[in-house]
Amino acid sequence: MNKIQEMNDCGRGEQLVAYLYGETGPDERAGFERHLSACAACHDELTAFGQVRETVGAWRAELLTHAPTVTTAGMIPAATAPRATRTDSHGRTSWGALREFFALSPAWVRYGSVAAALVVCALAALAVANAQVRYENGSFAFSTGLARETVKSPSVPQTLSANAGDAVPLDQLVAERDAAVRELQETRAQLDDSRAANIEAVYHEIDDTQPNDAGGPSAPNVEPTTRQRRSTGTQRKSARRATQGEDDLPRLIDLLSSGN
Amino acid sequence: MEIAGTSDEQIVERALAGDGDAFGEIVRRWERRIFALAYGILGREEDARDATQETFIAAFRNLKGFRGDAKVSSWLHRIAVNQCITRQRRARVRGETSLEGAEEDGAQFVSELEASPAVSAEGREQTEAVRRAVNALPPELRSVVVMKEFEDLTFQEIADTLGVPLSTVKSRLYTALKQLRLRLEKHGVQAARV
Repeated sequence: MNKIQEMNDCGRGEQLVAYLYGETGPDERAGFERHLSACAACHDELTAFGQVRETVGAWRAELLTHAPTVTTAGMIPAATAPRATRTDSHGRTSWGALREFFALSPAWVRYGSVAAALVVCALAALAVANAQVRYENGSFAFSTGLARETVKSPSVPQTLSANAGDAVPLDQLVAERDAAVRELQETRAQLDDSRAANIEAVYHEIDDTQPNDAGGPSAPNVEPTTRQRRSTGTQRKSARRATQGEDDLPRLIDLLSSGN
Repeated sequence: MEIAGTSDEQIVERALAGDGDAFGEIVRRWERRIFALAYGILGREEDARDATQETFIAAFRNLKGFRGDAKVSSWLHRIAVNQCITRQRRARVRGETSLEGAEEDGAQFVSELEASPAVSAEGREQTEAVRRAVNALPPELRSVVVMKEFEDLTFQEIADTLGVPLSTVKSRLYTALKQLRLRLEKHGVQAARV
């Protein structure tokens, strides 16, 4: 700093302040007094500095008269227990060390920390604002705005919901499913029996209507006789009856839908 | 408990012995001087209040470290100066280097001072001029002149507190007085009639 190094014209600034405040040795004081008697600049400066000191001293007296009292209540415990507060190796509290860290940190660190804290607070506020605790069919359910997963108490029976607000017990659904499976198996067994009976009847009818066919091969280019045509029509009717038996059976999708 | 005629050192001994009210007497005795010192160095009432509080809290925490080699008052003032210097360094990091023109918004103490019936209009102007002149000094000059004028510390004590050579203290004090003279003369303050 240039101003700190500046001295008066005589280059005796340090001697001047030492003399002004009475911090000179006898020899130095005598030597400076001899200089003062011959140097108008130092004499003038010494007088002016004396006036400055008086002015500053008067200001200090005003400050002391009107200085406020300082509250230390709550900061110093009534019982004397020095170092009751946790401090680090430099005698600072954790909070004080944190404050000093931020005070000495660059602006981007301070602003970044504030921004991160705001984001965390916003997320926490969002989660708290959307938190829901429900009681449905004997179970508690908790959910937040951030995680939509529902956490349920494991000790109570679980439920499934086919539609919103329409919860059906799981046990009931399992029983219905088992009943539908049994009905399906019974129906399939009836279908197999009916089909076997129909096929057997068709074979018997063919055997009854064509007793001579087994004797020799028929000529390929010969027109079928009227009896043969009638026999062929009968076979078609029998096959159609067997097919009609399958069509009359209930369908699986209908059974499942009726179960619900 | 009779405390009025007791020395500071005896009160500290009582505090160390477990007297819960003893340290409060130390605070009552020295809080105004510590505040004035802090205000002179820092230039802002709020900072001065905080520094004064921190001074007494630090003194209380380090009470066991007080050996009695120096006076309690010197010990307290050294703590206060260190608190103020720490605050100045923080302010410097934040870029707050000058107090010139600093307003005292809501400063209750300053408004009470200026409204005092014992202080004339001319005195109020001079008080304000001195405050502005001192505040206009760079922190390193302001600290030296306040420590010398307010606490009457020796050059060597100031050098030890600030950790600078003795000649630096003298040159800083000379420069500070020179700048104060120029600023006070500019505002027409000739002599101490505050």
